[in-house]
Amino acid sequence: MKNLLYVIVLFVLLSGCTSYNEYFKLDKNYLQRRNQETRYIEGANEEDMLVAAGQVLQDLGYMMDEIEFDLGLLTGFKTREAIPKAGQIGIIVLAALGGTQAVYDVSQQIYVTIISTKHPTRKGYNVRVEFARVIFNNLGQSRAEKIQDEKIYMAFFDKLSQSLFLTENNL
Amino acid sequence: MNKIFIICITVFCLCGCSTKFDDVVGSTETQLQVRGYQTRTFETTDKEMVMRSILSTMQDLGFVITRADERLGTISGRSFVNDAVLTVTIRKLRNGTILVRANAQAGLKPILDPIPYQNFFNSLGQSLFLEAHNIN
Repeated sequence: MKNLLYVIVLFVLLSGCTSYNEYFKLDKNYLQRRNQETRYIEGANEEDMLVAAGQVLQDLGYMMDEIEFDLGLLTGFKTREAIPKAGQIGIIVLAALGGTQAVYDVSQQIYVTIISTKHPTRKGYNVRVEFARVIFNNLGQSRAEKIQDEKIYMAFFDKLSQSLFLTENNL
Repeated sequence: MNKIFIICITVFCLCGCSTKFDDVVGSTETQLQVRGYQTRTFETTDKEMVMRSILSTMQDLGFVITRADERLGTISGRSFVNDAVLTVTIRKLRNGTILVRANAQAGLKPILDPIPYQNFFNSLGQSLFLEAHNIN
């Protein structure tokens, strides 16, 4: 009884003591991430480039969300199934065998942000793209994560180069 | 002993309960106190450059931009690193400086601790420096 009382008092004292000291602090890899997410594009004007980027988003099935040309900003999203990975299938099978509720991913909302910035000294523009997603499981819980796979960013910029060519040629 | 136990349980049940008034228009600090740590001024008149630096900083910090308007000077985003949302407003002052104000919410609570705002403005200062020196 006494122990329970101590636990409750401690809980009351600690409730609300969330620390935000590490919030909004740059980590040591932010420049590396910035490089991974940014490409310099020569020759195109900002409007053509944002149009070409918008075309890529449509190619990839994104819905446009926010467009602010004066800031070179384009955002979009799409909702897709989150296919259970091999590990998750294992968890489902084990849970079924053990008679417990399996937890597995069901759907995901993927967000993309594109920002173009005039290069301070050269004629072209820096384009920066960022992907993130929120994954929902079968219990309705969600978790958010930034997508940092380099291959995804390289593939996007390849598609953007192609799109610039296609847009310039009215295709 | 039993009385203490009941008091503790009552305190535990009541802590965190707030009225509708507190939720909608309540504040634990004065407007001036809040503005004090949520605001910084920058010695420039180039509002667009500051806004673009804020976008860049927010991306560096793992935010996804959800809304932005150049004319009104507002940018909002959601952090995928910390579970937080942030709105930044940018105003040109008559004395030739730019005023930047940020306010954030983590989960279901507003962030009323000055440190994360200091962190944000330090990050923004770094980004303004990088852009001024042409580093990607």
